[in-house]
Amino acid sequence: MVLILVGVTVIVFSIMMLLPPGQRVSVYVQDERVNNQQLEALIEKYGLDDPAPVQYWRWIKGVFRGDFGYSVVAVTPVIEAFKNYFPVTLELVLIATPLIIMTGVWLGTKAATNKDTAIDHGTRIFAIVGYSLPTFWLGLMLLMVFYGLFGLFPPGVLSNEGRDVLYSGDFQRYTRLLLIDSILNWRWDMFWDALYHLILPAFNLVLLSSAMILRLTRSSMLDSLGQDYIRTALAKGASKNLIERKHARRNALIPVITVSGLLFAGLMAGMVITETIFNRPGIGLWMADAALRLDVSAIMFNVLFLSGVYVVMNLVVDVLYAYVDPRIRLS
Amino acid sequence: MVKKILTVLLTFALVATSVFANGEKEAAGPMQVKNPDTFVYGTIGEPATLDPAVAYDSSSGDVMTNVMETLVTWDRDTGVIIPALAEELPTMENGGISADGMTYRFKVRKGVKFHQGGELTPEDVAYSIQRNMVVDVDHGPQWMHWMVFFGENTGLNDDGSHKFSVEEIQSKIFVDGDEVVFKLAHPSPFFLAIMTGYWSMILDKEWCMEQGGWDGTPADRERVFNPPTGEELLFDINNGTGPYKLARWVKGEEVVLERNEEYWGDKPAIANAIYKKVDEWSTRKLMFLQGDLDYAYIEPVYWDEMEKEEGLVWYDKLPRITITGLMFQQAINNVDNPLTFSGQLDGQGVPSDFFADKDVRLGFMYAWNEDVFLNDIGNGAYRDPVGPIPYGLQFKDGDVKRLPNDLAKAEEHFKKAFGGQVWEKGFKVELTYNEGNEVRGGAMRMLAEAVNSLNDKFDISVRSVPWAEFLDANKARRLPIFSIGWAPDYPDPDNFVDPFMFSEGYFASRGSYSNPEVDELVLKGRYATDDATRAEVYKRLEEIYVEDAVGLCYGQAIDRHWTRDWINWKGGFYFQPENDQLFNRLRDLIKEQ
Repeated sequence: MVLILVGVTVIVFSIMMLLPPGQRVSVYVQDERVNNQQLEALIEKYGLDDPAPVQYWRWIKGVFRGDFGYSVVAVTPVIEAFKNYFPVTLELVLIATPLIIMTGVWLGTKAATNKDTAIDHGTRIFAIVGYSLPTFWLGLMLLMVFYGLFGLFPPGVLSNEGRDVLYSGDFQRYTRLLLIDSILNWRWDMFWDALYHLILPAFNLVLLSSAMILRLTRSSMLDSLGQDYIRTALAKGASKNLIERKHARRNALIPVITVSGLLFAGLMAGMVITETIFNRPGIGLWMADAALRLDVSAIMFNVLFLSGVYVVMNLVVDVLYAYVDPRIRLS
Repeated sequence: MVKKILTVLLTFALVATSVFANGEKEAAGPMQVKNPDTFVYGTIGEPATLDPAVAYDSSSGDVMTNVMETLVTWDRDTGVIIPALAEELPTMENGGISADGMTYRFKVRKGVKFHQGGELTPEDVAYSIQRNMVVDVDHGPQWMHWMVFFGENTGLNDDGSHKFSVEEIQSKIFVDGDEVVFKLAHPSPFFLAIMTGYWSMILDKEWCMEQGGWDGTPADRERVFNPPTGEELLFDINNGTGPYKLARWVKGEEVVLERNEEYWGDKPAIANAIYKKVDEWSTRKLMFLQGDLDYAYIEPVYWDEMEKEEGLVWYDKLPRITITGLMFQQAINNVDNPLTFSGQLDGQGVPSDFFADKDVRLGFMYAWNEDVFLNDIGNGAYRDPVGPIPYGLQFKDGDVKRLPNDLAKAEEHFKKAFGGQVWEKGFKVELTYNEGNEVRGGAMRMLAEAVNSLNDKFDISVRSVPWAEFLDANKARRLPIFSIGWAPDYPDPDNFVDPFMFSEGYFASRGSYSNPEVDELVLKGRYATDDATRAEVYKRLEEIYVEDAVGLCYGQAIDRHWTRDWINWKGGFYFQPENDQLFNRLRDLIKEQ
């Protein structure tokens, strides 16, 4: 695992180093009011023209000391930025992922068990729409309808009043996840405030991301329903509902678990648009800004972190395989 | 099961709608003021730092102007400089300015308290300016202090060593009795204007040292000198004297200010203010229309659509003193330069000295159609500045005219260029602008189309590139024509002719433009103290700018400020070109239905 992570950082760092120092210095300069002497001074100050191995060694030494550098786009040290942005993303992912999986599995099961009926066709349309709609467009439409027309579900993470409470000093930030911290602080007003701001972005993700789970569940279910053991169970007189839930769906979930693991990791990294539209300063938004402005410290940290997330999610998926399929456990 | 889930979801939706549906009720009548005690500004970006030694961007300045103060400031109605933390404005008549114009003495206002309780003293003032010069970060604003106190544009030698010792700095800025004394290198007509900027804001010396700041001795200089970004002492802490205090800065989200109840001047009417980062325009627009923002940053391209919305007020035709334009590169770096193709005057590229030929530059200048730019590309957000000095500044001479749009004259000059070779062989070049700046892109495309229309052998293409690529190519002098934009550090013609024309200025040096007559005039204007001389100098410089076809200044920004209709002004609306962001004038805003 460590080798994988180091390997990824070496590759990404090498790619970044292909850009000349004159481009990488741009993260420190936001307008044309700079002359060449100032640019050279900045390049020298941050060692941007040092040999790539020297720069990598400097970065990795810092990592071992717990110093990931300074993120110019986040105007704060990388670790501080991560502490601020990660909970915002994680909270949304934790809310959205189960909803996405439940919606996808439920609709996929319905589609498979009602193959070639109106339900099947309906879910197909839902899936196509989900696949086809640009995230940006759907997010904006949701915001325009719910917030623009009805004043519901405003963008952001909390209301102004909620933010005053959050930073008042009386509100303990145990986990930095607002929903959990609100409960631990016994502040239900904060809980509802945070949840209220999560509904629309979560709904947006469910609409967009459940299509993939839906189609996968459907095809996997159809495959399972065609197996001999299903026919045997039916012949033995087991109820259709029980067979579908207990026998067919459980087996059909194996590929779904794989995809769900990747979905979780993907959401951690890929919510740039959702976070932008709903003005939620999370990892995705930070990473996109960092990539656009060549904020090397932020890019390297996020690469490391997201690689770690993928590795961990693969591990989780492997464990879940064993739980769902006893054959894997036994082998 | 399914029915249960649907029932739960439906119930939740109904409850949510009934509990939170404030906006629906408001749609029937005028919207009620939201957050009545708080002014919320939605904009792109956020401050880079709150340290006056380092800050050199308008977002930082917006916030700092509310929490800190300078010795002098701009009068809201007359636009002249008036005392702020100074007791009175120094003049020759009151003995505050010496007869040679090189020594300024300020008495400091009494009874002014910093937010954390310290009392303002002359020592605080001297320490603040000294400290800023000692910290002196790369690419920071302190060059202005080096210029007025030492006559140099930087405090560093080429090898990175200090040009001036701490003792020398302290001999220029010191306390004498109850006065702070500033000794200038030359008489300076804009010294006071520089002292209005956020790079000259006043700190509490004792507090600053307690935080670990410079201890005031030469020995401590290197410890605090040129810190890496974000490691400057006052990066996100503050203890100023301003009408607002810094309540919190949540990076990536917002800066929150609260009223300073102990403020020495008129207290602001609005108790709190939020500088909120909302990068996405659609989201910002919806928040503005819903009343969650009181003031929003709106790009000119969206002005038309916003005019149709209800509940908004806009203040139109606000003359900013900024200049946007193009500069010709007279010594293009053709080494590995894809923008100049063959790098030769063979019809398949351009040579390094292509724009060093004045006829080429004049050909481009005559091809430029300012009216089309102003109406079709600028979208009403610009006026024609003609030269590098914006309208609204003293000594701007409106009699200087730009070269007219005349394609016949353009053709005539291209035919003369390089002894006729340009016209005969043609040329091929690619122009670039930084991504996201469509006004600049539009201007370049318009110019390219006009020049291409003159001769089938002319082939100018235009494309956008990421900022990093643009900056690197510009640094390496690979851009044949590059976009330029300038907002004033201090509102004086000197701050415009220097970057645009002086051989050591930002754009002129980058564009390899050098004219000894110009350099002489720039310095003459900088140090002259009589208005007649300065007026003559700046008129001549603008004439040379046009005659010499140095570059193309095509736009002086005309701004609009948009607020909700419940935002009012103490004493009526006013606009300060010198300090043109509305958030800087929080103290004069009122929020009421």
